[in-house]
Amino acid sequence: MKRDMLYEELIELDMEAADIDDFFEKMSVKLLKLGYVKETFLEAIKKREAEYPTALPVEPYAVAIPHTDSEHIIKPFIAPVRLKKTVKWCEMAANDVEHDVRFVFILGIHGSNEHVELLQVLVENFQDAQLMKDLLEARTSKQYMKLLLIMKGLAG
Amino acid sequence: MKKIIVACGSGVATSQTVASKVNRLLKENKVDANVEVIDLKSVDRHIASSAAYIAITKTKKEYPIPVINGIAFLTGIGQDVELKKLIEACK
Repeated sequence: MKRDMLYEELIELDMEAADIDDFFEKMSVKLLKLGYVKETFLEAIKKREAEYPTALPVEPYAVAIPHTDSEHIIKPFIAPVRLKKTVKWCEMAANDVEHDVRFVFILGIHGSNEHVELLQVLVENFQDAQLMKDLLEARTSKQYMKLLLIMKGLAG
Repeated sequence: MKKIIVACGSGVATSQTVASKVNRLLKENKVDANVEVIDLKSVDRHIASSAAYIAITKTKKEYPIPVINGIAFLTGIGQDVELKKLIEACK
């Protein structure tokens, strides 16, 4: 995973969201304002998630990795979010299976092949119980960022 | 060389990651097959010429070739079982 796709300004801790759409709406405002995505991003990501859900059934906590086509992305990013209350999120390739998701990483991929390693690194680290515990307990975005930057397998 | 296809919702993230990982695993196991990332819409067209289809989305229909659970390769959970199935399909 490329560290330069992680931006502290995109980290949200204890974010309030009633459901997936509410989550996307709130995050899109921020991503649009900061110049990471185009206006078409919100509709695209909502639509895609509804059709092809992205919750990964990993342990200890299920994690969602919503993303959409590159055409809606201006600047590649990963937006790490920790929700205040878990949101029901459907499982990837098992649309009827729901998970209570607290950790979401929006992937703003621009179509290069860098994200290939990135996803593998992310998913492997999501299964690190100690890391997930630390992420759960982190108090500030700075702390959260630090934890993500020392994930195993993270390259320049 | 056997062909294996993989497709996901948008083709930018999960299918590429799974293809990369599976190609590496196949090589390690000395299986003469290659995983190709294709568009979800193109799946039907490739079925006839493929040994297996690695699905990362919910499959709504039956296929004449083995359908492998792609999420297992993404998360690593249940990967060994799916890899075995894949290797069998390539024989």
